[in-house]
Order: sequence, then structure tokens, then C-alpha cells
Amino acid sequence: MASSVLLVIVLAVAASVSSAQKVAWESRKRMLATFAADGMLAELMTLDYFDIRDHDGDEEDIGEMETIDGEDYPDTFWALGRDITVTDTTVTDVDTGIIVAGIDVRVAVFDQTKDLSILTAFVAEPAP
Amino acid sequence: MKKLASDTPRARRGMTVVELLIAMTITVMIGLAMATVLTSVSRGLSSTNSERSALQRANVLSHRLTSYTQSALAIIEADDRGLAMWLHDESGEGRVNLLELRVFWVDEVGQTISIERIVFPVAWTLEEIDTANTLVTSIEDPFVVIAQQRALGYTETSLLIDGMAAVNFIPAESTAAESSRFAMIVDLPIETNHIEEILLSVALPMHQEPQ
Repeated sequence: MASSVLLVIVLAVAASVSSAQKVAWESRKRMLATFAADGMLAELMTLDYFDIRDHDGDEEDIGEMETIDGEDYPDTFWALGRDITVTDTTVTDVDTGIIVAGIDVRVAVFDQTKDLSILTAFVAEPAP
Repeated sequence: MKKLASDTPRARRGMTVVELLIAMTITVMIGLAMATVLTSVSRGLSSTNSERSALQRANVLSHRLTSYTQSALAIIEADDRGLAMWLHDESGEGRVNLLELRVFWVDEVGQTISIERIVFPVAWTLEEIDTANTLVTSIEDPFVVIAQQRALGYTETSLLIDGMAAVNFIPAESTAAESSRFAMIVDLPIETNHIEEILLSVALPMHQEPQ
């Protein structure tokens, strides 16, 4: 009886510690994912409109991320991968009704199970 | 009449010394085990808090730097001393003047990044300011230039961030001035003897190489 009570107590403590560690790890991954997504989007915004399109479908495996210029991400980002999607779209100004053509640039950073951070930016097509 | 068990007085039996010692030993062992668990949990929490704090500092650095780089024209120098940035082209000449210069100093000893800019005396006239607002040529070291202005009392420094062990800037092109992108590797001290490396991308969407 006493052993059972003791076992239950130990298991409860271990479960709560494990749960807290898991939450902390997830939180850390999400922050790192935000850095990576924000960084790639900022890099893409320095490119010419038509050069951004060339990155549609780019995907970096988990642990293999690098900057657009080929600089490897440090080991801190070992659990993260990233992909880029560029899609044609239009945006209509509500007040004037003017339609602006451009591209939606979407950067998603993921781990083995889910997307952790997704950032999207609209880039208007330059005037001819 | 049958005697019920409850009618029979119970034999009172105490604990032997051996039983007492065993019980005390078990209690002490359980107590030690719990203390060990609590200590480990406490250390783990402390480490987690340190990591979270370090990442938050990196996040703050990223946002504060972006507020400059979003509109900056070029980073004219980047080395272990820090960054020298051409923030805007007020004169419209396509060249860097003193008032358009911002220097981000990296202090690895104090673990800080601070930003220094030129501020001429308020009492000066526009002509005096124009005269003093000289060009920073490409052959001059912008860090030395701003240090000279500091010696004259014409600069102002503010803290950008603290808690950074080291910062390394890697330009995309062969020179800083040509680069519209930099990889910034930041070393974050987590606890004693533990450093975490973070990569932040520094991008200049308005990039323009100074003449």
C-alpha cells in the first residue's frame, strides 16, 4: 500500500516535470523558427521581383538551413527546416477599387511534425 | 457461548529497534530522493529561464536592428569592432556625410552593442553645421572618424542591447559596402561556460552603394 502511494507520487512528479520541459522546448523552437522565417523573408525582400519567383518551391531539410547566400545556420537550429512558396495574387484597394498584381511570398519553418512559424509578404509587380 | 474475536483483548505489540531503524532508513532514503529530484527540477528551470531570456534578447536585438536597416542605404564597414551604417542620404549626393553615419559598437567584454551618432551643438547655425558635416570618404575608417568626433564632444551614444558575448558579421558580397545582406552570428551566454549561437539575417532592402 505504501509502495503504491510512493510510486504514484513519484510518477506524478516525473510527469509534471516532463510536461513542463516539453512546453519549454516547444516555446524555444517557436522562437528560433520565427528568427529563421523572418530572416529568410528579409533576405528575399532584397531581391529583384523576378528573382524572388526563382525561389518558389525551395525547401531546406531539418537541420540543413542556410541563408540565401549559403551561410549555414548554427547547430542551435538543428530541429528546424524551411520552405518557400511564391504564388501570383492580386490585392484590391478597398477605397479606390484599384487592383494591384503581385506575388505572395510565404516562408514556413517546420519541425518533424508541424509548421512552427509562417510569414507571408505581398510584393507588388513593378511598373513596366 | 462462543467468544467473538472482538471480545478478546488484543495483545499490544510495539516496534522493535530493528524495525524502527529500518523505517527511519527508508524515510531518509525517500527524503534524499525527493531532494535530488527537486534540485534537478530547480536547475532545469533555471537553465530554461536563462535560455528563454537569451532568446528574448536576440529577438529584441533583431527588432531594434531592423528599425535601422529597413531604411538604411548601406553598411560601409563591418568587422569585430561592429558596424558602420549609412543611414540615409540627406544631402542627396550619394556619398556618406557625418550626420548620415551610425556606428554600432560591439563590446565583447561588457557584452553590449551600443549605437553612436554625430550630434552637433544645438547652438550652431545651419552654415556651421553644413561646414562641419564633412564627407566620410571610402578610404577613411568610419570607426576612427566617429572616435575623432567623440573626442570633440560631437557624438551621442545609446545602448542597443546587452547580454551578447560576441557578434560576427558576414557580408554577402566581397565588401560590406557592396552587400545588401549580412549574416549576423550572435553568441548568447546562457549560463557559466555555455554559449548559444543564433543567426540573424540583416537585410537592406533600400541598399545603395555609396559613391
